[in-house]
Amino acid sequence: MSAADEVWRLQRGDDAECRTFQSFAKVGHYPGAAGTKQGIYLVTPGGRLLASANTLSPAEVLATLRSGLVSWNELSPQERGTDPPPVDSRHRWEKSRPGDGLVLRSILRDLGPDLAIDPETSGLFNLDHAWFSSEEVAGWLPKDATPGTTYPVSDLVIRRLARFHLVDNVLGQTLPFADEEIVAASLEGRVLSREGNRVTIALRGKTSASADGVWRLGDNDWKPTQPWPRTATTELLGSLVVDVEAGSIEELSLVALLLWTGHTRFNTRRTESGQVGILFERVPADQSVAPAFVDIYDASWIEKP
Amino acid sequence: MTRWISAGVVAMLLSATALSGSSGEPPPTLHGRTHAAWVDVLRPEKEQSRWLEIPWLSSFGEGLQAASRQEMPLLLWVMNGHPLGCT
Repeated sequence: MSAADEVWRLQRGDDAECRTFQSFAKVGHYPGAAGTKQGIYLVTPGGRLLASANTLSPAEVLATLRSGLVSWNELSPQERGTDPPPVDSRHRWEKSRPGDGLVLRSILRDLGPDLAIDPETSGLFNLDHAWFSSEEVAGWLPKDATPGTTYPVSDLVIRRLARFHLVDNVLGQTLPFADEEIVAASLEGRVLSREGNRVTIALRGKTSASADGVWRLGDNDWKPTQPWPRTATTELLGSLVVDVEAGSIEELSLVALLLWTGHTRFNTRRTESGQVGILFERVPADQSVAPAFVDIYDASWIEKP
Repeated sequence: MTRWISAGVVAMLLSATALSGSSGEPPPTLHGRTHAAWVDVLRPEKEQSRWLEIPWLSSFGEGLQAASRQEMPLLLWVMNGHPLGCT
């Protein structure tokens, strides 16, 4: 069985799920109660540690898995444990997944000067998810579905993308933009065709964001300890298929070309500017983990801890 | 995962056929590249994204409970930022 989870909460929290994680993490590859617990862990259903490591080496990952399975095979059924320890969580962002809304998965990759994948980082990409509630989905849809009609996608939609998702986090987590740091943001739909209630739409847009380094998003885990001035400018091209009767999105694919300047503490940049390609695709909500910046997302429908 | 791959196929078909428009005009481009071509460039190669084909459960608690039901060990992967999201 395989699972993935976010470690910042697990290693610091005090609900049952966090305490169970901490009970074996503190005897793993980073022993003790303090410090990061990033890595992979093999554990029994009873919460007993079999093996662990934090490594980028596939060979070491494989060795860890094999070591853990050897340990597993040496355990009696009683030692393996079949009753899991408590794993109740006090709060999980995923409980706010917009099941009847829209979830976009984004892939972000570095581009070279020729707009091909940058050979320096060709194997690297990051992911994120954008959430929109069922009410917010209306902002993507035309009011008039006559072919040839153009309309603005709502400010809520494009500004959420500009603030939280059109950012340079290819090589590591970065910072979002405050609303007042969005210089411009627009996304236009053009109705191409209609077959019954099924309407096909072309999307075209652009955004511009600029942060002077002053933190404007309050006291939270993202607040940096020093200024990180930066900009992000994008051009967008995409397509959308909607059911205008149901008011729902059937398919969505959006590409962004992002030009960035500046960097932040954890996004691992060695130069001061570059280009990123971002691909947004609609995915089922149950495939989605929370957006990176969910704790400061502009969405009151997301339940906070 | 199958659903991940299927979403990509749909995206390619969508961009290839839809953006020509009913008038048959050439599809719009972004810096000389059509939407379909951009999708082809940006989608990771299969060898780069094979880890996404593993049926990861998205929380430690779900994983431990599933491991208990299946009487199997649990492989748990944790990072700053969820491994299935932005890290």
